[in-house]
Amino acid sequence: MAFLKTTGIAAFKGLIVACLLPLTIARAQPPEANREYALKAVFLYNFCRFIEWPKSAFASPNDPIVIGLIGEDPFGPLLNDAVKGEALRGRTIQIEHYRKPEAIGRCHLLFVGRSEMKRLDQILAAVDGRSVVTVGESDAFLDRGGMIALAAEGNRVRLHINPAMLRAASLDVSSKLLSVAEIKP
Amino acid sequence: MALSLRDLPIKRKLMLVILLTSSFALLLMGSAVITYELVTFRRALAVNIGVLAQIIGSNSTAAVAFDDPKSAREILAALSAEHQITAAAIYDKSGRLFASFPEEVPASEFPKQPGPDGHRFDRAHLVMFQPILQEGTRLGTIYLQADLGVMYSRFTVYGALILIVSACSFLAAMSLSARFQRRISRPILELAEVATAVSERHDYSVRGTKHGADEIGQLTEAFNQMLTTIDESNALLSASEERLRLALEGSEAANHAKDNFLAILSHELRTPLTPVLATVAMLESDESIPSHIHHELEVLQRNIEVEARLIDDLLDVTGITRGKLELHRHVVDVRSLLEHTMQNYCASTAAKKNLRVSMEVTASETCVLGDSSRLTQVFWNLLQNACKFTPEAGAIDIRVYNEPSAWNGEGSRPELIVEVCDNGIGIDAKTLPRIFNAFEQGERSRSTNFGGLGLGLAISRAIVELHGGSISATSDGMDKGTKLFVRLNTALRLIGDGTQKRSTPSHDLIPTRSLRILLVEDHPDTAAQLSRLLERAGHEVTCAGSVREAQETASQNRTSAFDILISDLGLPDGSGHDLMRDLSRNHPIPGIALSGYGMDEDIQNSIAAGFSRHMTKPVDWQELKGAIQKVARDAHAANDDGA
Repeated sequence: MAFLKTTGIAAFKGLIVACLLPLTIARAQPPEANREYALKAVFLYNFCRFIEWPKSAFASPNDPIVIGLIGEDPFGPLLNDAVKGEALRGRTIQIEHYRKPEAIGRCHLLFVGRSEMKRLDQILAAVDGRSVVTVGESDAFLDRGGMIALAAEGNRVRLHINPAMLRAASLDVSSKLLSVAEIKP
Repeated sequence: MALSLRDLPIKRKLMLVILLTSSFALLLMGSAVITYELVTFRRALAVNIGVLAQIIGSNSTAAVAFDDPKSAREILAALSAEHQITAAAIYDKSGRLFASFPEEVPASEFPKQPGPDGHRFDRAHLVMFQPILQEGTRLGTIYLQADLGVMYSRFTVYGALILIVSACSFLAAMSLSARFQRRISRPILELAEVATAVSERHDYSVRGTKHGADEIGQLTEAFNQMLTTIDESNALLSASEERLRLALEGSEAANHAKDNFLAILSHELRTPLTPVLATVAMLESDESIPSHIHHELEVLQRNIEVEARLIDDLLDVTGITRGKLELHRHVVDVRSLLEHTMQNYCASTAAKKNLRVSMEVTASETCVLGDSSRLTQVFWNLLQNACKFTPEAGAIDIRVYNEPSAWNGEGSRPELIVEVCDNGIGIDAKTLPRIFNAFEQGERSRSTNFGGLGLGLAISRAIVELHGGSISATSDGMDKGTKLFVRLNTALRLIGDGTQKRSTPSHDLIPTRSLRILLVEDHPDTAAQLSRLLERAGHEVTCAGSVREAQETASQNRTSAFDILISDLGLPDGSGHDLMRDLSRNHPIPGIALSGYGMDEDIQNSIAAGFSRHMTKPVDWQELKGAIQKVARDAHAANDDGA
């Protein structure tokens, strides 16, 4: 290690930092952010409880419910922890990651992180007409055609929902869910 | 109270029983209702609260799932409509207090951790924990606390209600039982009244009223039947009593008739004996008659005397049975009575049968208070019997002695015992107890041998008993002789008492003197015989056949022309008593009444009419002679005194 320190140590250092950055960023998130995403992970799972999909959304009765993530993954292991071993109505829950809107496959719930807002139109177009619950992180997301927004307010996360969009996608939302959410617009 | 319960009137008892029973039933009913209500209410409360918890839980799933305490609080706030819920809370999955109600209560007042699922009652609350489930997944826990005050206030109302109902029921039961108990108590009380009437008034004709066919009805019927039976047997009893009374009256009447018949019969039998005796006496004193005829006259006289005695006995018996035997008591020396009886009535009989008669007197007290003629009759009977039942050359021993009285009181006197003992035929043990009964005289065969009616001992017993003494007999058996005992109470001898002189026959000692005699007798034979006897005795006799004739004779001759009146009582135109009263009105004249009737009553009547003596027919001539002398002398003495 002394060798490394003395010869091209800065370059190496930069490489490592570059390589580890995404991880480091995630790891380096403050505890508030950590808690926010822990909550959001649980919320994503809980949406599966309060929303019913049309039968056509599934290939078979045992088909898993698929939660899709597009772009950067802000959850780390938190989402996986929240859904691991859980089953709803005889269905397991799977998590899939998509890099690009074109890559979006068969999924039932799609989380669109803040980073993907610039590609939002493409993403929404990709899932249009497919009974996919789109979950974003801001009211802007709703304004642009999203269904549910998870808005962080202090150390809490508030739900904003556009029920019309959900209904348009043939999705049945429990009134209970609506009762705890802020209806937009 | 408990002690006197059995003495309570049956009305009260019935009411008490009914009220106690209904009160107990009410109490039981009330407690059953309350217990049931309590159990039901608790269960219903638990179910209600459970449902409420489920609703709240179900409504709050999203709030818990999406971490929305505000919504949860809003949902809980809806419970303010439920008054019995005093507190509610929601805990999240990790057991943290998530939301609570009412909001003003601080969190520290709520349980820190949810308790086990289910409900429990503490003193004032129902506490419940229930899971908040979403499609089988537990999202959290709901906590509810319900106040039981509502329940308690409800039970206060229940209790009051039951009390009021009980009180009303009690009053209703009281008034109803007061009415209905009469159905039971009234027949019993009526029956009791009937029973009282029966026992107090002995009225067996009353009957209880039957009100129904129940046990009391049966009792009434049985009671009535009993009364009927008693009534009938009473009627039977009184009927048979009546029959008995009639029979008794009949037999008394028959007995009376018999006694009357005997009295009349003996009188009628006796009357003809008087002239016969008088004639025999006259003939005996006639010295011109040869001696062999004299002997036959004696036989005649003796037999007539026996017959007269028999008739006298018969009269005595009828007198005894009619209770008409009276005693003229004075102090009598039994010793001299016995000696007199032996000499005058027994000596000749004994001499004829060659009997040895001895008398041994060891008694120092020989006086008794009694009727001398009646006692003489007793001794005569005893001696006659002894003579009669003792064979030829037998022996009769008379012993007179004293024994201390059985009564040992102050001034008690010794008893005098006269024992007549013979060695004759005796009496067998079977007959011995009956010999003092009238008309009993040993065996029939014997009575035929020995003659007599068997009245002597019965008369003797009656006389001795009237004297307060007793008579008894012993015998060692047939042919072993008989002993008869007469026990009498002794009396003090009176100094200067004339008893001895009176009881001793004295007529022979008195010199006769010629008297003018008015003889009234309707029976011609008797009159002729008597006047002849009297004339022969040296008297001057005037005869009359009726009251009227006697009165005429007396008025012709002046009453004072006669020294003495001898009159029959039964005259054709009146009674001798009337004649005596009539004559003595003009001039006092002593009189002797002659009558077939010899009862004490007859004697009393004669004395009351003015007669000095009453003699029973047939008249013993010797006796009449003595009586005439005595009466005349007494009258003379009285006249002398009067002069």
